[in-house]
This record gives sequence, C-alpha cells and structure tokens, in this order.
Amino acid sequence: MTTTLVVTEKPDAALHVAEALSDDHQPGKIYVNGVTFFEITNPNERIIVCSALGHLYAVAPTKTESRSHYPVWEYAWKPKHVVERGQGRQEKWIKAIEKVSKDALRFVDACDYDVEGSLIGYTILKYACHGADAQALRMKFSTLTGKELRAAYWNPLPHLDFELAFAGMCRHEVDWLYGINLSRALTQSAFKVSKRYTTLSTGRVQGPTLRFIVEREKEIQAFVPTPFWTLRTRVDVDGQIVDAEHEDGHIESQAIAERIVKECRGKIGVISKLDSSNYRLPPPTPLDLSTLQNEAYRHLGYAPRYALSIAERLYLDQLISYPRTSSQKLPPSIGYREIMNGLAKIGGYQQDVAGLMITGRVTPNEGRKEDPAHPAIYPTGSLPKRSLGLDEQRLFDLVVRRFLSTFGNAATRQTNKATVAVGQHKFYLRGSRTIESGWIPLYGPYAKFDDVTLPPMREGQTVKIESIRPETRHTQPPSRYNPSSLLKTMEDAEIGTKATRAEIIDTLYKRGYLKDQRIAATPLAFSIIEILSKYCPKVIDTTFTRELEEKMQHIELGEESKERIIKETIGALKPIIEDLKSKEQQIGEELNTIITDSWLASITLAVPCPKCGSSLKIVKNPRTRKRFIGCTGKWKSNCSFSLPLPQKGRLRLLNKRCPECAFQLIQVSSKGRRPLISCANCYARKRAIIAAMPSKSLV
Amino acid sequence: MVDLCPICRRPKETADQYCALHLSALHNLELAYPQWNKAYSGKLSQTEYYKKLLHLNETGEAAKALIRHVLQEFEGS
Repeated sequence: MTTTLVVTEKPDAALHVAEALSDDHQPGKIYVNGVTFFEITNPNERIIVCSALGHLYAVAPTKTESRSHYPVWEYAWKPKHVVERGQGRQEKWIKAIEKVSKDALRFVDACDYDVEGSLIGYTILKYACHGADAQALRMKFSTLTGKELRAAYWNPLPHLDFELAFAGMCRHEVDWLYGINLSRALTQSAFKVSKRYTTLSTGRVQGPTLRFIVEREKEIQAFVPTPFWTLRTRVDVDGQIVDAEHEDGHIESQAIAERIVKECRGKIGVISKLDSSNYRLPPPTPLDLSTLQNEAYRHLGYAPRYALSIAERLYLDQLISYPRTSSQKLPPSIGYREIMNGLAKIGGYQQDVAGLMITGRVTPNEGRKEDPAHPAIYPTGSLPKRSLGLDEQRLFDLVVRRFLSTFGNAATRQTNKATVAVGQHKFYLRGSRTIESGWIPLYGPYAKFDDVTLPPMREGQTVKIESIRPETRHTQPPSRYNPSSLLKTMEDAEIGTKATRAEIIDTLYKRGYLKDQRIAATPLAFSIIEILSKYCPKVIDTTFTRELEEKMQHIELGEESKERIIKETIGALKPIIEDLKSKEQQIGEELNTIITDSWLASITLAVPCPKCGSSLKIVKNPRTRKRFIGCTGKWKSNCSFSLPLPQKGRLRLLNKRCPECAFQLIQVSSKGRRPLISCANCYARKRAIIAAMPSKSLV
Repeated sequence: MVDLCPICRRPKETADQYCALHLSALHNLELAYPQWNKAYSGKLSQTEYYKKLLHLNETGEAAKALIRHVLQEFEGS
C-alpha cells in the first residue's frame, strides 16, 4: 500500500483536507511527537495529512555572529526555531513531519496557492521531507469546501509551482538583506553615540512607506492656511426653505463677500434655468483583498490587518474563498446558482437571493484586476458550522452583500440644479435622488446615498432670499493617512504585496515611528527618514523599490532568475552599507538627540508629583530590579512619593487622564493579551485602603 | 558637531537658519501673507497675521512653533 503525505499550511486546513478525502468525513487522528496529524486509509492508499504552522523555515546568517555585526551577505534557510526565540512549537512540528515523511512514497503540497503558501510547502518538502520537492504534486484550490478539495486532490498539478516558491524565496531573501543590514547600521550608529540600545529598523518596503507618511506629516506641520468666505444662503421657494450656494463658491476677500450680502439680502430672485440629468451607477465589482480591506475600514472600522485576519478565519471555516487575491473576476466555474441557493438558507439573504433569481443578471459585473492563482473573494454558500463572533458576522455580511450586489442591475440617480438670478448674482439650488435602485438595496448598509429633493419649480418663478450671511473659512491641510488610505497609497505605488502591506504598517507602529489611528509620524520617524534621505536616498526611493518588485514578479512568470536578482541586490546594497558604516559616528550624533528625547518622553509622566511638584519618572530599583513611579524631587527635597507599577508587560504612558483622579493613565501590553489601561494612583490608593482594613477573624 | 535648528534641535544645514521642516513652514508663511493681506483689504499687519494663524486649528505645529519663535525674537529685539 502506498503512503501519501499531504502537506497543508495550518492545522485547520489539514482537518478540512482530511475530512474531504475521507469517505465518511471522519478521518483518523495520529499523534506524532505530540503533534496531531490525520490519517485516511483506502484499499490502495494510506493518506497522512500533516500541517505546518505557517512558515517553519526562515532566512538567517550562515555563520553565528553577534546580533550587532554587519554587513551580512551570506545566509541560508534554517528551521525557524534555530533562528528566532520562542519557536518551540515549530521545532516539534518539523520533527513530526520528518518522522511521517520517512514512510511516504508520494507527496502532495496542499498549502494555499500563492507566493507565501507555495514557499511554505516548498521549504517543508525540501528540508523536512528530505528533497521531496522534486517529486511532489500540487493541489490548486480557492476554497476549503469538500468538493473543491477532492477535485484538487484527484487532479493535481504534476509538480510544485516552483516559480511562485522561488519568487517568495527571493522576496524573503532580498527583504532580509535590506532589513538586517540597514537596521543594524542604524541601531549600531545610535548605540555608538548614545550608549543606549534602541531597536531602529527600516526595510525595502518599510522605508518608502514611512517616507509617504513623513512627507505628509511635514506638509501638515508646515501648513499655513489662507482665508476665504462662503455665503450661507437660504432661499424661500413657495414657502419651502432650500439651501443655496453663490456661483463664486470660495470668495477670496471679506469686503467682496460683505458687498454680495448687502446686494442680495431680502431680495427677490428669478429662477432663470432648470437643469436635470440622469446617470447610471453600475453594480460594484467583486472584492479583491485591498477593496475588502478598504470597505471593512470604511464601513466597519476594521484596520486592514484585522480585516485580513477575520477573512482568513472565514476562509478556514469554509465560508468564503481564499482572501489573499488581487482578482476582481468571478468565473462561472465557481457555481453562481449553487452559491445563491446556499446563501438563501442563511437568514437575512433569502429575499435578496429570490429577487436576484427573478430580476438579476446572469453574470457578475467583473472588474479589471486579475490574479492567475485565485478568483475574487466570494461566499462559498456553506452554512456556518459554529456561532460566529460579531466582527466575523459583520465581515461575512459585507462579503455576501458585495457578492450579491455584483449580480444586481445598474442603478439610476438623478441630479437637479436650479439657477436663481438675483440682480447680477447667481445662486444654485442642488438636489439629487435615486430613480431606479438596482443593486443598491442588495449592498444594504454599505451603499449610502444622501437624497436631497428640491420642491417643484418652473423657469421664471420668483423666489426670495430668506437669509444670507458670510462665513469665514480657511483652507485645510492635507488629511492624515489612515491604515486604509495608506494601504491604498502603497498599492498605487506598487510597493509591497497584498499579503505584506498591512503587516508593514503594523511594524511601523511597533517601532514607534507612527502613532494614532489618523496616522501621525513621530519625531523618531522624521529623524530616520532625514538620515536615510541624506545618506542612502535609494533605499527610500519608491521607483527603486517598485522596479525590484517588478523583477520579482518576473520570477513568478519564469522570466527572471532568483540568483540574478539577489546578486543585483547585494551589488546595490554593498556600497550603501559600507558608506553607512564609515559614517556611524555622524549618523549616531544625528540620532542621539531624538533618541534621548523619545526615551525621556517615554519614562517621564505629564503629571507633576502631588507632594512636591517635581516631575515623576518610571524608574527601576537598582537592587530589586522592580519598576515603579518615583519622584525626581528625591534628590532636591527628599520627596519620597512613589507608586507601584505592574512588573510584567510593556508599559506605555498614554495621553489620557484618569476620570477619577486625573492622574496620567498607563497601558500595559503583554503578548497574547489585550492591553490593560490602569491608573497607578487609584491602584495605590485602593491598595492602601485594603491594607488598612482590619483582617477578618476566623471565629 | 552637528548644527541644530534653534526651534526643534533637529540637525540643519550650516548655511540655513532652520531645519528643513521649519524652513518649509517659513516659506509657506511668506507665501500666504499676500493672500491674507488681500483678503483683509490690505489692512493686515504682519504681527496681526501671525497672531491670527496662532489661533487656527488648521495652522501646522511647525508653522506655529516658527511664529512663536519669530514673535519672541521680535519682542526681544
């Protein structure tokens, strides 16, 4: 009997694959080194379905050297637990896969069909299955439904998608070369002068992305508004009051605005012209990942990375198709009618589906974007097998409603404009309304249009200026990026990939370069970009990054070799890194001020000592190593004020005050837990009250 | 030694008065004044212009810091 080893990306996916391949949908479980895999035994074949935990291998320096050493040009792919701390689970998984692979004669890669998935499968088959990459077959699927998984297993591609895997490898290696060398150059330069260790990082995509934000921040910070005036005008049309706007819109002088008011106040005007036009609103296109992330941010307030993580959960639950796609196409092979029938069984969609079956179009309104690996995101029509969380329900609803609306008919909207002549001045009354709703109700709460209905009017009719007054306004600075608009800017600039962009934004927050939801660059971000622009402008140049991105895409198409790109990258980076190394002192001095300021700001509280008025700081007891809030007046006035602090987790001083005592609030973040916001002052007070209570007698 | 901007202590070019950010704010201030003056019929003094800007939410923080610095220097001279 032949043993086949099927490699999947995650434990959930392994279960779905195993269920699909087992006749009774109840595969057996096997425990290897404490790891659960699945086993299906058929008359001719024993199938073992194993899973990874995402990437089990990573790029690392060939030689083991100090973490501050650079430049580093020699590297190899190594097990993740060897390279990174806290990856004990990965070690167990690799050993378990190694063990089961020994019995296998046939290998099938069932990881997600994209660059990252192909790389995960390739590295496992090559390193953990001792070179099985050369003989492995490849399953290609876009949903984890039983039907599609069985079809993919029985009709696999004859070999691995090496181009995708090599493109992924190249991206990881190029990013690693950039990241390790540039980040160590910055960190070491700062350390040389400040003697304080601060992790400063930049990367191939991080640098240009941070530059977008810093440039926007510079525009906002250096912005000088200019004044203009608008005329708040209300017109009486047969007793109905309607807002109107003056033909000039923005008036550049206060005197002119006041003159117009004087000439029009209380005057009678004549409707000189009525215009009306209709326009068609085609249905929306199917969702690709970035559109999903944008819509989720706009309507549900989910950050792009969060939206992706929910979408991945829904994919693993077989509810939607693979979300990491650039496609806006839905081929008929996905089975429109079958999906609709499935959705009709879910409460809330029955009527919409029934309506579509009668009046809707047979094909969806597809967009231009394509993805060779996957179609656009669509609901599978399967019913949820577990109770979904609120956020999952909302995102699922967005995906379903978007899918349904792409089959809807075009909507028609009408705009109306009435021109009112008052002496030599003209005012406009504007209205708009939906005439044919088409796809709009199908998209539900995600399609919003404000209707303004004008009263019935005819040309030559007289109306009265009911009120008019000038309003001083000022030009606005450019708006700050939010996670969604930044993602869009990265996509338009063609830097990063659909899978990595949201993560890069997150990293920039973690490094202390960004703050707030309406993204603002911190002083540290300014310094990093100033230094990179001065000493190595190429690494923050969007064109340079985009060109590299294009070359890597050519690997996916088999038109470029990975080795050539790596050689080119090292060739371009070497002189830059050598130059940075020779200027460590100079760069360190430029970074020193800002690092010291940031560090001081991170430990100095905004509230003064309630006893002596000196500043309060987060300090550590040199003997016990315990941290607490201490008063800097200790050395001047012998003030002994102090407050206890949590000893575990990362502390961050917030720009918020306690509603009870107005003391500055502190956030404590620990890995895997929700951040806790607390008031050290209230905590100390309550602890003192409890301590002062008489202890209860046991009798 | 690195030359520092008198407003924000960020490095600046030796020949320049301020760092790049505050130079850009200065440029914007100079550019906007004629528009402000025209808007108020040519009756707006430079000091009034600065004071109006300090009270507006739209004015950038770097522009405000520069205005405060300039006003302080002006009062000190």
